[in-house]
Amino acid sequence: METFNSVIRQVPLEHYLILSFFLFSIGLAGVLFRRNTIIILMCLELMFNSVNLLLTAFSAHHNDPGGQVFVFFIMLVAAAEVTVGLAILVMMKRNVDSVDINQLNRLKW
Amino acid sequence: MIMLVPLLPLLGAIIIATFRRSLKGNSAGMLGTLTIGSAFALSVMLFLGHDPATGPQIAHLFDWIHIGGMNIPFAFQVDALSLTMMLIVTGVGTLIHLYSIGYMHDDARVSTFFALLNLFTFAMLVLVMGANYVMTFIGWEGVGLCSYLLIGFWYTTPAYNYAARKAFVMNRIGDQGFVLGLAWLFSLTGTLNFNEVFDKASSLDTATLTGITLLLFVGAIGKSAQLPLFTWLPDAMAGPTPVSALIHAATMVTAGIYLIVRSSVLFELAPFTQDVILYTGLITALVAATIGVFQNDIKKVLAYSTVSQLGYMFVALGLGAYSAGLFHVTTHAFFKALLFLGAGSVIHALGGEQDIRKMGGLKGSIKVTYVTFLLGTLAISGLFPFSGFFSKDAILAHAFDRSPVLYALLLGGALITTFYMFRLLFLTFFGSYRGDKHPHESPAVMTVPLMVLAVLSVVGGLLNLPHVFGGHEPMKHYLESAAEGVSSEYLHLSATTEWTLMGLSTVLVLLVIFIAYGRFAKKATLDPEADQLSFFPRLFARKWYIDELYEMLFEKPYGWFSSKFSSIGEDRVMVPLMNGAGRVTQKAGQVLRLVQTGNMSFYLFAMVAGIIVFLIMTLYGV
Amino acid sequence: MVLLALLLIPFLTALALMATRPTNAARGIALLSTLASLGVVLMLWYSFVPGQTITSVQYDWVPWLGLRFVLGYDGISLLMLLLTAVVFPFIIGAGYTQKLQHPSMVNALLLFTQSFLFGVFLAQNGFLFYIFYELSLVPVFFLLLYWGGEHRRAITVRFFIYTLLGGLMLLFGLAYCVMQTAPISSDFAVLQTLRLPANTQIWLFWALFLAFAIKLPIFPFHSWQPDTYTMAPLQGTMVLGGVMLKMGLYGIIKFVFPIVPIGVEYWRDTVIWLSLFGALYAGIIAFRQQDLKRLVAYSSLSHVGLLCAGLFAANTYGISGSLYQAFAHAILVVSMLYIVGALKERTGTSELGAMGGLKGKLPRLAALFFLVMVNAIALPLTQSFVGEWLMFNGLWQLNGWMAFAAVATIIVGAVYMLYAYQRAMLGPDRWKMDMADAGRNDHLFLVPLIAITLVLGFYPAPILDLVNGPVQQMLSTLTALY
Repeated sequence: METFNSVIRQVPLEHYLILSFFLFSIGLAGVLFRRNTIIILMCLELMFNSVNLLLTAFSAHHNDPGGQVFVFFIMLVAAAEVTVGLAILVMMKRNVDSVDINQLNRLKW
Repeated sequence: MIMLVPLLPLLGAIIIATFRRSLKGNSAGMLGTLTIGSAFALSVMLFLGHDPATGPQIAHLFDWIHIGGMNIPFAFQVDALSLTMMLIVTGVGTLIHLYSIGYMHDDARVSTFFALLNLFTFAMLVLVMGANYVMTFIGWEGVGLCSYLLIGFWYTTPAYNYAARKAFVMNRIGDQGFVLGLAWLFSLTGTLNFNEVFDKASSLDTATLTGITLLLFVGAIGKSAQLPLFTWLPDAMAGPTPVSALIHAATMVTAGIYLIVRSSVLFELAPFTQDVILYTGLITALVAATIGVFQNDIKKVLAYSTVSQLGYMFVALGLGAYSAGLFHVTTHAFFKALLFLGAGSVIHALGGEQDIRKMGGLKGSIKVTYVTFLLGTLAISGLFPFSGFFSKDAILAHAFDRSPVLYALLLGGALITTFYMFRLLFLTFFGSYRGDKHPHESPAVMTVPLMVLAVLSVVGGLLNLPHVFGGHEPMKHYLESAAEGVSSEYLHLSATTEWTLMGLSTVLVLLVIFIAYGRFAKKATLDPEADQLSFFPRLFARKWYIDELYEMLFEKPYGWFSSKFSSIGEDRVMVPLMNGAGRVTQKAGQVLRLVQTGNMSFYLFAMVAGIIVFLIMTLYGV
Repeated sequence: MVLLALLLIPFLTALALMATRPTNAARGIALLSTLASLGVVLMLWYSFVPGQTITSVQYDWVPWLGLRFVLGYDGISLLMLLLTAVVFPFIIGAGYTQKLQHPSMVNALLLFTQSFLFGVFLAQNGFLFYIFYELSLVPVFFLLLYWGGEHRRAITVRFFIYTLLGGLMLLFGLAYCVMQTAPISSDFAVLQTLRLPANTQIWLFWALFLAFAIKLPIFPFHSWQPDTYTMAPLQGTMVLGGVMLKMGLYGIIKFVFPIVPIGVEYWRDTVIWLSLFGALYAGIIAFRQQDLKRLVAYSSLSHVGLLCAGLFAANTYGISGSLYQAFAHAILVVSMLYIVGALKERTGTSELGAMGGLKGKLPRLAALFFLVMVNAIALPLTQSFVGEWLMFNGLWQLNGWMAFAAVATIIVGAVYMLYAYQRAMLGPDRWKMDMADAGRNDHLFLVPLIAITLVLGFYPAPILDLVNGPVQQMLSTLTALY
C-alpha cells in the first residue's frame, strides 16, 4: 500500500489537478452542449471520474484513506444513478422514439 | 331611608314591567302613582328632617368603580339642593302619574307606559341625588333613555321614532361634553365626589376651569335644549302629553340647570363660561320665543315656551343668580306642568286634536281645564301675584343689575311669551268652536292634578318672596348651605328701582294681553300656512330653518359619508388593497413560472451557471 | 392538573363526538361539556386570590427551542378564561335555532376551538402560546368553509391566509426574541425580562403587534373582518367576535407590552389614532348598512378600535377599562348575533330594509333586543359603561383629543344602533304572516346574558379586582423601563 502511494506521489499533484480539470471540463461541456441523452449520461460519468481521480490523488498525497473511501461511495452512487438514468432513457425511447434531450421539454408548471 | 327614595320608583317599574300582562285596568297606574307618592312622602320626611346647617347627608352604599387611584362610590347625597329637586320630581311626578291614569286609560300598552314613567322617575332621582358626578351621569343617561322610549312610545308612527332618535342623539352630543369634562376634572383632582371636587376647585387655574366648565355646559345644553341643540325638544312632543309635562317641561330638561347649580363653585371661578351661559341662554330665550308665536300645534307652542323659559334660567345662572334660576325651575315646573296637562286635557276632550286652528270656544264645555289653564297662562306671563311674576322678576332684576340692555331684551322676550301664551289661550278657549268633535270634560283623576298644580302656580311665589314684598327669600337662604354660589348673589338695586321695574313689566304685560285679546279672542286671526307669510314671520314659523340647516350640515353629510366610506373606502380601497396583495402574489407566480421552460438543457445550463456564480462568490468572499 | 382538565374536557368531548357522531344528542353533550368547563373556571375564580400568578403544569417539550409545556394564569388570564367559559355554552346553545347539517361535527369543531382557546389563555410559554394561537384557527377554518354562506370558499381562504400572515410575523418576532435569551427559553417569565436595544424594539414591535392587529382587527388591517363575519355561520361569528378577537388583546398584553416597551412607547400615538380612526370609520359605515349581521360586524369593528386605543393608553384606567370592555363586548356580540339569528329565523332575512314593524308581533323579542342595545350604546349601569368610562379616563390622561375622538364613538354608536333598532322593530306592522314571539329558548339564552351585563355594570368590583393586580404590576415594570 505504501509503495502504491509512493508511486502515485511521484507524479506531482498539479498534474492530477490539471488532468482532472480537463476531464471535468470535457464532461461539463458535453452535458451542456450535447443533445443525445446517452452522451450526456456518459459525460456525467466522466465528471464523476475526474473527481474520483482527484480524490484518490489527494488521498495518496495526504496519506488519508478517507478520500478513497469516498471514491467507493461515489462509484456506488454513480452505478445507481446510471441505472435510473438508463431506465429513464429506455422509457424515453419507447415514448417519444428519440434520445434527444430537447424532446424532454414538458418539465414545466 | 335615603336609598328608599330612588328605590321605590325602580321597584315600581320592575314590578309593573314584569306583571304588565296581568295588571288589568288602572292597577298599573295606581301602583305607579303609589310608589312615586311614597317617594314624595319620604322626600318630605327627609326635607323636614334635614337641617341645612349640618351640611349634606351622604348614604354610601358600596364602591362602584374602584381601581387604581379611582374610587367612584355608589352613594346618594341629600342636601338642600337635591331635596329641592327631589320634591319637585316626586311631587309634580305624583300629580302627573295620577293624571296619566285618566289620560292613558284607553291605551293598550298602559302598563308599559307606567313602567317607563316610574323608571324615568328613578333615573331622575338618581340624577339629583347622586353624591358624585358619575352618579349624576347615571341618572343623566337614564333619563335620556326613558325620554327616548317615551317619545317613541307610539312606535308605529315613523315620525315619532325619528323624533325619539333625534332626542337621544342630540343628548348624546351633549353628553360627550359632560364625559370629557368629568375626565378632565378627574385627571386634575383625582376624585369626582362633589364635596371633594369643590374643596380642590380653588387650586385649579382659571383657564382649566373655564375648559372644564364649558364642557359641563355642553352637557347642560344638550339636556336642557339650548341653542344649538334645542331642536329635539319640540319634536319630542311626539310622546304622550303627560310625558311632555313630566320629562320635557318639569324635570328632565332642568337637569342642566341642576348640574350648573350643583357645580356653582366651579362656574363661579370661570367668569368666561358664565358669560357664555348668559348669552346662550339669552339667544335661546329670544329665538324660541319668536318661533312660539307662529306655532299652531298646542303642544309645540308650549314646547318652544319651555325652551325659552329654560333660556331664562340659564341667563340667571350666567348672572350668578343661582337661587333665582332654581326658583324659576320650581315655579316653571308648576305652571308648565299645569299648562301641558291642561293641553292634554284639551286634546283628550277633542279626541286627539292638537291644532289650535281647529279649536276655539272651549271655555264653556271644559270649564275646569279652562280655569286652570288660564291660571297657568297668567303665571307664565309673570303677572302679579302669580308665581311666575316673582321668579321671572328675580331674573330680570339681576339682569338690570348687569346691564339695562340685557334687561330690555329679556323683558322683550317675556312680552313675546305673554303674547303667544295668550294667543294660545284665546284661540283655544275663546271665540267659537272651529272643529267637528264633541268636547267633554276630563274625569276627576285628571282635573284634580290640574287644580293642585293651579294652586301651586298661583302661590308658588311665596317660596322665595323677595324683600321688597316683606319676604325673606326663604328658598335662597335654604339653598345657601348646598350651593356655594348662592351665598355670593347680591342685588345692588334700591327698592325704588325694583318697584319701578316691576311696575313697568306689569303694565307692559297687561298691554300685551290686551293686544292679544283684540287680535285673537274677538275674531280669532288664524295664521295662513307658513309659505304664504312674509319674510320674518315665515322665518319664525319655519323655526329659523334650523332643522333644515342641521339636515343639510349634519344629517345628509353623515349619510353621505356612511355610504361613501362603505362604497369607496371599503369596496374600492381597503378590500382591493387586501385582495391586491393576493393578486400581486399570483401575478408574480405567473411571471416566475415562465422561467421553467421545460427545456432540460436550459435547466442544466442554469444549474451550472448558478454553481459558477456561487463559486466565484465564495472565492471572492462576497 | 385542573388546568389540564380544562384543556382536555372540551378536547376529549370533541373527539368523542367526532368518533360516535350522534345526531340528536350532540348539542346536549357539547353543552354539558362547556358547562363542566365553566364549572372548573368558576372554581378557579373562587379560589383565586387577586394579584397572584399561578403556574401549575410544567413539562419540557422541545428544550432546545425553549418550548416547554407550561400552564398557569394570573388575573388577566383568568378574566379571559372566564369570558371563554361563560360565552361558549351560549354559543353551543345558539345551535338550537340554526339547524345546521352534521351537528356533531359542528359541535366538535366548536369544542376544539374552546380547548385551544383555553390553551392560549393558559400558556405561559411563548411557543406554546403560538401553537395554541394558530391551532385555534383550524377548527374555525373548517366551520367557515363547510357551514358558511355565500362565497364561503374565497372569503374563508382570504381570512385564513391573512391571519396566518400575522401569525407568521409573530413566529418570526418570537423566534428572534427567543434567540436573544440565554439559556434558550421562551417562557413568558424569561421573555419579560428581555431588555432589547431601543432601535430593535422599534421594528420588532410591528413583528409582534401585526398578528394581534389583524386578529382584533384594527384599521387598516380589518378588511377580512366584515365579509367573514357576515358569511360565517352564526356560531362561527360568535366565536370569532366573542372570543377569538380577545386573543389579540391578550396577546398584546402578554407579548407586546412586556417585550418591547420602548417600541410601544414609540408607536403608541400611531396605534391609538389608527384605532380611533377605525372606530369612527366603522361606526359611520355601520349607519347605512342594510344587512343586520354586517352591521353587527362593523359595530364590533368600532368597539374593537376603542378597545385597542384604551389598551394603548397604557395606564391603569386604559388597560383595565379595555379588559373590562373585552368581557362586555364578548357578551354583547353573542347576544346581538343571537338576535340577528332570531330575527332571521322568523322573517327569513337579515336585511333591515325588509324588516320593520316587528315590535307589534314580537314585543318580547323587541324588549330583549332593546336591552341588548342598551349595553351596546354603553348606558350607565351596563357593563359597557364601566369599561368605556375607564377607557375615556385613560385616554384623557394621555391626550384630550384622543378622549374626544373616543367619546365621539359613543355618539356614532348611538346613531347606528338606534337606527338599526328602528328599522328592524319600529314603525307600522308590515308582516302578514304569524310569528312566534320570543319563547323559552330565547329567554334562556338572552336573559342570563342581559343579567350578566346589568349585574356587572352595577357591581363591577369582582372583575376589576381581578385585573387590578396584574395591570398595576405590569405598569410598574413598564414605568421602570422607560
